[in-house]
Amino acid sequence: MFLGVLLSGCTAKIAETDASGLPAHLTVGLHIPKQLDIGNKSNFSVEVFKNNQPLEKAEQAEFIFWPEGNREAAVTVKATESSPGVYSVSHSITMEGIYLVQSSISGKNDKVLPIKRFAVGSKAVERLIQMESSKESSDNSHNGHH
Amino acid sequence: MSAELIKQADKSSGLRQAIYQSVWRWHFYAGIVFAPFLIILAFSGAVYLFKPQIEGYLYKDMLVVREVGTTPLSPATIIEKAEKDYPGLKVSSITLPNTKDSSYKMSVNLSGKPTTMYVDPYNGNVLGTLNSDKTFSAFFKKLHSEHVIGGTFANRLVELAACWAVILLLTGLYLWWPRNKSSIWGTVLPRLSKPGSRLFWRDLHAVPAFWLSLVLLVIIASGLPWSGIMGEQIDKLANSTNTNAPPFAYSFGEKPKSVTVAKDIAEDLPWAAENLPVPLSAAGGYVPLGVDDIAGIVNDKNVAKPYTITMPKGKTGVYTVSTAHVKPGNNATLHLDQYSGAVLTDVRFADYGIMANAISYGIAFHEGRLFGLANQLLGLMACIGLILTAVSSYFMWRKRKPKGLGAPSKPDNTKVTVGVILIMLVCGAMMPLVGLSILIIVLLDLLVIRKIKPLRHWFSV
Repeated sequence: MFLGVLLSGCTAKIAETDASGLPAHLTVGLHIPKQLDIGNKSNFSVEVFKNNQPLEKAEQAEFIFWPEGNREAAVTVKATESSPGVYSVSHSITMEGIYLVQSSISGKNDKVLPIKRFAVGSKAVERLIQMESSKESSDNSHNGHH
Repeated sequence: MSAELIKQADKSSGLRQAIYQSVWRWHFYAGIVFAPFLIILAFSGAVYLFKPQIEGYLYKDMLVVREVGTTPLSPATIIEKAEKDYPGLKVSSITLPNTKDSSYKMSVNLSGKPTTMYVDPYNGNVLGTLNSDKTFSAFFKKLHSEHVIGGTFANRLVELAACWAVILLLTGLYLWWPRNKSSIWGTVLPRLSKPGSRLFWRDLHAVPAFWLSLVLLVIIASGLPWSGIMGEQIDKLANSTNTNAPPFAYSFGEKPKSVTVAKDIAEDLPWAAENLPVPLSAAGGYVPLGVDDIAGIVNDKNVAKPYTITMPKGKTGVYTVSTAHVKPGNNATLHLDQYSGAVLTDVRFADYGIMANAISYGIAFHEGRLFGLANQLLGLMACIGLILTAVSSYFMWRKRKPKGLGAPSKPDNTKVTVGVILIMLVCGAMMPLVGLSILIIVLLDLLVIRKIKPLRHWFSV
């Protein structure tokens, strides 16, 4: 038994992996409401899983909103766990424009901070389309080099 | 003493003499061929050992900030400023130091040219740029690992020389081994009373080599994991015994992919492709995280600075964070999803198997990083000793005043010759390039040298 313990101390510690070949890790799905009206509260949510199991009772869960290019104007809203592993906030946007939302969820030893961009108002939506399309093409051309 | 005993004693002394002669021949030829390479390795290694001091002096203005401020700027601010100040600049990695007066080191692509840029953390000003391939130590590193020429051939040549150095040390130790009454002089202390004599050069050759043999063997062994052929074998052995490092342990190895799917814009905004009226609100895709978010997550994970954050490559790439410590022990390599910041893999030194641990310590010792200045000085002594051993062997050879090559003559005992070749082949089985070179030597001996009289004479066959 002593030899077994000794030998196990010599071998590499390889964590169990899932189908993707990775050890247990967090996965997220950040959801932005399909329709956002100026001044009306809408529901923003994030689903967090670890090992395909909902990450329940997160130590910290909040959403941060800020207008594109102005992180200093960020607003932080505490999130609640609306169903197991799903954290949501109700938030209203008061002005047309492009915004970013980041959900910050901390588990015992893990943290996720996904960000998505969204637009309110038709002009902002058009700008967002332009922005995302140009990012898309630059990503493609960038990938083309490798 | 009876005639029988005298005969037996003569026989065993003759056998010993034949073995000695055969080992000496191998030592002589190996020395002639590989001494020049070993001198280059020792010289370049001796200089490279002192890379921190030399580069610290040469590039002081870039590595150290002039005025230490109160709070350093965030890495993202530094990157943003550099990319704004230098149009066309793309930062591929940033190293966060562990001392307040160190600059931030960034690997950047400046108009298609890979460059290392040093930035003042307190004001974001660029302190200087260096072409990483053209630094002082990069030259000596290249000289050490691929004789400046570069390429696979040069790399194999270095490995061949290093492996033959092991044979030279082992055969040298056999030749040094005191045969008669053990005497301190000539074995552990050199006889230097007659400078220039053969004895003087012999002792300058054998005695320091004996003292340094263990250090040299460790230095050579710890360098072998880098080599092309032995390195691969060591890696295979470590993998088969599960004593290597776990997957994703090194920043330069294979990387996982981000698991958060960054959907194409057309999927998120279907009306964009279908000419429908523009809606009043819309959601875009995931936005890659900034370096500050990554640094925050990594700091929570107790990764000790200095560490390097490498940017993701492409849409499915990951952020890679790897430590750059002088000593092994705190090593960490993490791969993070570029969109969520989820830590996908986190391999620490404690997760390494025993061979990976030994290799890490060995490399640190080889580079003189394991125990500070004493490690560097020990390495320097070994390098100087190796050069002295090679140079003194030349004078020993001159003192014998040989006609022609002056190789030790072949022993008149075929069994001994074959026996020593077999022992050499056993070494060759462990060091494949040595094995291959021995086979070439034996074939050359049998098919060419023995058939041509002047060659036979010259090689004392």
